[in-house]
Amino acid sequence: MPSQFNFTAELFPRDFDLSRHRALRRLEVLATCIVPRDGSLTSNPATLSFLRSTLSSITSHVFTEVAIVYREEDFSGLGFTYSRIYREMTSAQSAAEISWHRSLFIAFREMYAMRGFRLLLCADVWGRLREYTVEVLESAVAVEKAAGRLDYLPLEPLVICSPRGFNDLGSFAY
Amino acid sequence: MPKGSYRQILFFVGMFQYLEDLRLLSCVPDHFESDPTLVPLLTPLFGGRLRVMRFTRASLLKDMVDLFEGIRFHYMDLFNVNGMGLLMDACAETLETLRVYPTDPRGEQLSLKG
Repeated sequence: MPSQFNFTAELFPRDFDLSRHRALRRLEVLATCIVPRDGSLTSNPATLSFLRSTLSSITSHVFTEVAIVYREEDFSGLGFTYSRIYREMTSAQSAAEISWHRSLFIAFREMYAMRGFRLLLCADVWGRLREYTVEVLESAVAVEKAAGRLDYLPLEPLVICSPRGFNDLGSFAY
Repeated sequence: MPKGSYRQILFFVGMFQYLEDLRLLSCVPDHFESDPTLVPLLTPLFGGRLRVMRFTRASLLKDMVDLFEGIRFHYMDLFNVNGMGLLMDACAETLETLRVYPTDPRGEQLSLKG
């Protein structure tokens, strides 16, 4: 049977069909793929197009979650020494990060319109950064919730962490 | 980390019957000559996590699926993989979680992991 997928790595498919994956429970996508950290604060149209077609192709009855993956680089000014973790941001960096999170939540709503899911915000970071990054993501959720912009979700977004060891390549991409 | 031809790598992987997870990094260098008579002795379980990065040699993936009579990973993390469709098809019945990187703006940068 010929593959239903026909593409190269460089040309990510526009018609990514997951209709045959009946056991699929979760789709994971990097936050920066959805809204790049390039200052534009607009959703990447190619990614949103991909996610729209992908989400609408899913037929699995057990599909429930979309996990948005945040890496160390997504937390501006984050650094560490042997004994402590610190964050040093200018007010401009801070404002940019708030806007970035806002843009992401706008994109999440667009994705949700294609298919309902439980929204997970996943800090995929080096283990020692776990508490700090989870706190940042929880704050971002709290801001949206306070503004009443998460009312469309039946369940509040869940912030989770997938800590890595220092030598763990994690998901490779960085 | 083992290096070798397609068949050497698959033969090595096929020594571990209870192997659940697999990571494939980059592609196999051209200077390794592949020996088609080299056939894995065992079939790993391959029911765990598959992570593949910057992988351009789809033929190794095809050999893996063929020689091990399918793969059954429940988690796949695929970044810049030629042969992604083959993997997706092979795990159609078992895949529970898929991580993808559409339009990754940062490509292959390394981070705190050094």
